[in-house]
Amino acid sequence: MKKTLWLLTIILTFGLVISACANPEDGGDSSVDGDEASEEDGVVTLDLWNRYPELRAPFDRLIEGFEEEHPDIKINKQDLPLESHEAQFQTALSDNSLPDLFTTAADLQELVEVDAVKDLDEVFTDEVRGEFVEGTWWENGTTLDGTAYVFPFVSPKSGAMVMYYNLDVLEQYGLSEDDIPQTWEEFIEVGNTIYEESGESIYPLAWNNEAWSNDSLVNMMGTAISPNTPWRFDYTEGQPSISTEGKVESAEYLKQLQQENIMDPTSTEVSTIDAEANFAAGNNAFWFSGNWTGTQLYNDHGFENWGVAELPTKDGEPYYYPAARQADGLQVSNNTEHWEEVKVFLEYALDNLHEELYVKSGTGVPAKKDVGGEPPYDQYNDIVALMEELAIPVPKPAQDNLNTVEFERSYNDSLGFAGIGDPVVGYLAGAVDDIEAEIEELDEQAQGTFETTLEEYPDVSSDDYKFPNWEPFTPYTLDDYEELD
Amino acid sequence: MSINPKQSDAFKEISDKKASKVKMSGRAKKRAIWAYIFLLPQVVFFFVLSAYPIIMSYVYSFYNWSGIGPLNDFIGFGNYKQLLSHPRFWQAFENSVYYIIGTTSIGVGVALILAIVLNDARLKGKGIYRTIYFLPVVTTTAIVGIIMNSIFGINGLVNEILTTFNLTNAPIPWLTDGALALLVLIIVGAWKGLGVNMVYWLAGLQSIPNELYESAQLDGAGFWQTLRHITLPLLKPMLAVIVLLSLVTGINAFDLVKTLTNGGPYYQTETLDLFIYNYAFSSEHAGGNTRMGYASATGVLLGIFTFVISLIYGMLSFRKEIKTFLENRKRKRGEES
Repeated sequence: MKKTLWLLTIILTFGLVISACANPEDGGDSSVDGDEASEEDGVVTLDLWNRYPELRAPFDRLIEGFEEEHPDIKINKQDLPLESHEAQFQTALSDNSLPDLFTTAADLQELVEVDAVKDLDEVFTDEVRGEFVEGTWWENGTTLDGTAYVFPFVSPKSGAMVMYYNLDVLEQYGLSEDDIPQTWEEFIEVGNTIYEESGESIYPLAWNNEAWSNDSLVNMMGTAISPNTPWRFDYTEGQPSISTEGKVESAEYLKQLQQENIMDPTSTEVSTIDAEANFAAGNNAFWFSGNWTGTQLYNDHGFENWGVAELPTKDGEPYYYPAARQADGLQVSNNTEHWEEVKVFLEYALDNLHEELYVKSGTGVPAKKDVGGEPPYDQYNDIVALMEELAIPVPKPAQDNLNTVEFERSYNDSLGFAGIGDPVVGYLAGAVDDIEAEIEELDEQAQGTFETTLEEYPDVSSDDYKFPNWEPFTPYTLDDYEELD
Repeated sequence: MSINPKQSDAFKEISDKKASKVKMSGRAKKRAIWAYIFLLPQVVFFFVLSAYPIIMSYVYSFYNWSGIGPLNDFIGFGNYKQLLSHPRFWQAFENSVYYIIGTTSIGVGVALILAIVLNDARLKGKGIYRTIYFLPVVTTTAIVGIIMNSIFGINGLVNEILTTFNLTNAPIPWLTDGALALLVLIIVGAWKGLGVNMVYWLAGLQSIPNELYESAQLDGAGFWQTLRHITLPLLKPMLAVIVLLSLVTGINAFDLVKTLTNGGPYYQTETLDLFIYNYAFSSEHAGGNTRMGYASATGVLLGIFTFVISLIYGMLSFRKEIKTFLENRKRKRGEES
C-alpha cells in the first residue's frame, strides 16, 4: 500500500512538472486555459502587453470603457517593466506565446519575417489610413511593403527634445518667462544668476546619465550647427556621420555646464526619472526632455507651475528632430485565437484610443487627426506646437529600398555601438578626456563598417543614403521621393 | 589463451563477489530502483534546465542571431573573431578579473579574521554577531545594489560624513569615477559574500579537535603560534574550497553591477556577465539590436574562462594530493605488473 502511495505521489509530481513545462500551443499556457474557461461563459479574454510606463493609467481607462461597451470581451493588460521588456518579449517570441496584442518592441521586418505579427490591412483600409497625420505610414515603422502591421499611437511629429522650466524656481530668484534663454550663452547667464542668487544651493540644470537621452540631446542641439546630419547619417553625402562639429560642440557645451556648476552634480549618476523628479521638486530650474514629460510632471509629480520652450542652441539658431524615427503603437500576434474580438477592440481603439491615451492624459501628440478631448493641463498645446515645429520629416532610405533595413541591422551589429550617448556620458563622468577624438574614432569605425557591410549587400549602395533634393529643415515628402525616382 | 592458477583464483574471487552481490540484490535491487526513481526528476531538470541551454548557447554562438526567428545565418567563428577584437569585451574581461581578485582576497581574508574572533569561546553574543554578518548574504543583491547606490552617491551618506567632518572639500564621485566605482563594487561584493565565507571558516575551525589547542597551551604556545602552527595548516583544505567558491561567485557578478553602476561610466565597470546581458537583452547597449548569438559566444568564452581558472586553481591547491594519487597509482600498477 505504501509503495503504491509513493508511486502515485511520484506520478502526480511528474504530471505537474510536465504540465508546467508544456508548450502553450498544446494548451499549457494558463491564459489559454483561462480563455477556454471564459469562453464557456461567453466571455473572451484578450491579453495585452504594454511597455510604456506613461500609458499605464490611460490604458486602464481605455480598457474600462471598452469592457463596458463590450461585456463579452475582457482585456487582460500586463504592464512590462521598462528595463526588462525586451527580454520578456524575446522569450515570448521564441516560445510562441506572444499575447494577443502588444505594444511595439522589436524591428518590424524581423517580426514579419518570422510571421509573428498580423497584417492589419483589414482594419487600416485606405480610408482609415487617411484619418491619420501625414507621415504616419512609413516603411519598417508602421508598414512593410505597404501592408500595415502597427496600430499607430503617436504622430510622427513627436519625440523632439525641448526645455522645461520650473516657474517656481525662476520666480524665487527674480526671473520670469521673459528671461527664458535661447542661446547657450544666455543659458549660462541665467544659470549663473540662479546659482549665485540661491547661495550656490540650486544647480540650474537637471540632467541624467542615460545614453539614449545624452545621444538625443547632443544630436538635436548639433543640428543647429551641422544641419546635414539629422541623426547618424548625412543625407547629402550618403554616408554615416557620427562626428559632426555640432555634436562635438554640443557635448563640450554640456561639459562646460557641468564645470560651471550650471548642471546638477548628481546628473552623472541619476536616471531620467530621478532627474525629472529633482526638477519637479524644485531642486533645479531647467530640464531637457521630450513630449512625454508634460504628463509626468502633471500626473506623477502633481507639479503644474512649469513652462516649455525650445532648447537653447549655440547662437539661437533653429534645431530639429527627424520625424518618425520610432514607431510607437500596437501590434497583433499572428497566433491570436481571437482575431474577431481583436478587431472589435481595434475598431473601438480607432475611435477612442488617441483621445484617451494621448489627449485626455496629455501624454503626447496623437497619430490620428482631429482627435477630441480636453488636455488635463494648459501647457499641452505648447508642447504640441513645439513638436509640430521641431519634428521634421527627413529622407528614409527604407522608403525607396527595403533592403536597407536588413543592411542597417547588419551594419549596426558589426558596429557594436548605438550612438554617441555612452561616450558623452563617459565624458561628463570624466572617463573620456577628449570627446572630439573619441567621437572621431567612432566615426572612422562607422565609415569602415559601412563600406564593408555594403560589400555584403549588393542590393544596397551609398546612393540609397544620398538625397540630393533634400534641404535640411524642409519636410521631405512622398513627392520628393518620387522626384528622385 | 591459457589462464594461470593465480589469475584463475582472482576470477573466482570476483565471480564469488558478484554472486554474493546477486544474492544480496533482492532488496538492494528494489532500493536501487527507488534511488533511480528519486534521481529521475533531478536528472530531467538537469538536462532540461542546465545541459540543454548550455549546449544551445554553443550552437547560437555560431550564428548571427538576434534572438528572434529561426537560426539561418550561420557565420562559423564570426562572433568569436569579432569578440576577440572588441575593446569593450576586453575591458569587461579586465573588470571581471579585477572584481574576482578583489572580492576573493578581501572576502576570504576578512571572513577568516571574523571567524577566528567569533570562534573564541570567551566571546559573548556570538549568535548575534554571526547573524549580523550573515544578513547581507540573505539580502537580495539587487536591493543591496540600490541601497549602496544611495549610500555612495554624490549626495549619499558616505560623502555626507566626509564633508561633515571636513575630510574632503568636495563630494567624491564614488560611482562616476571608473576606478572608484570598481573599488566600491569590489568592497560591496566582498561584504555581501562575507557571511557565507565566515560560515565556511567557522565550520573548518570547529572541526579542529580541541585537544590540539590544549596540548599547544600546555607546551606554552601563545595565540599567534597556535594560529600559525595549528589553525592555519589545518584550515588549508577549507581555504581551497572557499577560494574556489569565491572565484566562481566573482566570475558571475551581475545583479550587483547592474543595480549599483550598470557598468558605467562608459563601460568602465561592465563585467562579462553584464556584457552578455546587454548584448542579449538590451538593444540600447548593443548597437541598436539585441544579439543573442554574440552574447552566447561571450557566454561560451566565459564558461571556458571559468573552467580554466578552476582547473588551474584546483591543480595548484591540490598538487600535493594529485602527486600522491599519481604516485600511488604508479606504485599499484608496478605491483600489478
